[in-house]
Parts: sequence; structure tokens; C-alpha cells
Amino acid sequence: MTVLLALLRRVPAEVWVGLLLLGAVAVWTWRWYDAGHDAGRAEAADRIAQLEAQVAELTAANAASQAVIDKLKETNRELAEGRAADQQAAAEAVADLRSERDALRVELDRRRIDRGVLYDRDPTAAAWASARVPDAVARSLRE
Amino acid sequence: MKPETVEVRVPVYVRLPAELTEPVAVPGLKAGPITNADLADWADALREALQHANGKLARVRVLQPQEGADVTGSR
Repeated sequence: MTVLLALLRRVPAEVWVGLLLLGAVAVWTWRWYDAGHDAGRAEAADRIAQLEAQVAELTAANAASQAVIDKLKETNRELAEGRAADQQAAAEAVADLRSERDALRVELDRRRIDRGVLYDRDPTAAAWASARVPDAVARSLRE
Repeated sequence: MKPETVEVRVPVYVRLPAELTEPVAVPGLKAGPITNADLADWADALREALQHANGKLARVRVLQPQEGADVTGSR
């Protein structure tokens, strides 16, 4: 111990001052690095929080867009089905009308034939049927 | 900006088939001298045309929206 103290007394004061300065510089450097590191971590955390908020917002917007798309699809499907039903009803109405028209023509022909039979059987009816309508009356009917 | 669903209800009409709205031709009296038999045939033809026209009207009534029915659709 005595020997160690003697050795230390022999170290020049400039060396001690130098060592103190080196220690001070080391401590300051470490604290500066540590503060910078903390600031960087806080900035990164803020950035991550911002990104997470943006992701949440975009996710919500995407969900809303999907809901709009689903609603449009559903509305389009309802309109298409309704239109198809209307078109089918219209096609059936046209087909039904044509069938009725054919039946009316058959009935018209049948009545004409029946009248011919009546004229053949009934001389009075035949005389009436063959009587000529006055030209003046015929003209008035054509006007 | 978030998209927003806006529901607009508008009347929805379906066009009637042209065949139902075409006029029915009026049967004409034949040319030249005519007899009572021709008049009888003409009267029958007129009745047939009238029945056909009424058939069209009946089908138009069926196809058109009923009174009080909801004819609006979401767009």
C-alpha cells in the first residue's frame, strides 16, 4: 500500500488533469449518445403510432367501400330480377294476346260459315242477304 | 374521405311491349256494290277488331303498376 501511494505521488499533476478530462469527455459522450438514442426511439414510436392510425383509418374506409359495393350489387340484383319478371310477364301477355287473336279469327270464320248455312236453309234470310245496299248508304258507310 | 351510401328512391317503369300499344286496324267495307250479307260480315269483322283491341287494353291494365303500389326502387 505504501509502495502504491508512493507511485501515485510520483505521477505528474498534468497526467491527473488529463485523466479527469478524458473521463469527463467519456461521460459527456455517453450521455449525448443516450439522449439521442432516446429521442430516436420516441420519434420511431410516434411514427409507428401514426402509421397504425393510418392503417386503421384505411381499413375502416375499405370496409365502408366494401359495404357500398355490396349494397350496389344487391340493388342491381333486385332491379335485374324485377326487370326479368316484368319482361317475362310482358312476353306472356303478348303470347296470350296472339292466342286470343287467333281464336277470334277462327270464331269470325265460323260465324261467317254459319251465316252461309243459314242463308242456304232459310230463303227469307237468303233474300235479305242478297239484297243490295243502296250506293248512297254504302258511300256513307265508307266515309 | 370515407364513402357514404346515399339511397335515392326513384319511380321505376317498365316499357310495355309495342304489340300491346299498336292500334288495331279498322276493318274496311269491301269496294263495289255491297249486299246485306257483306254488311253482316263487316259487322262481325268490326266486333272481332273491337274484341282484339279490348284484349290489348286488358293486358295493359294487368301489366301497369297497380294503384297504390310502390313503384319506386333504390338506386
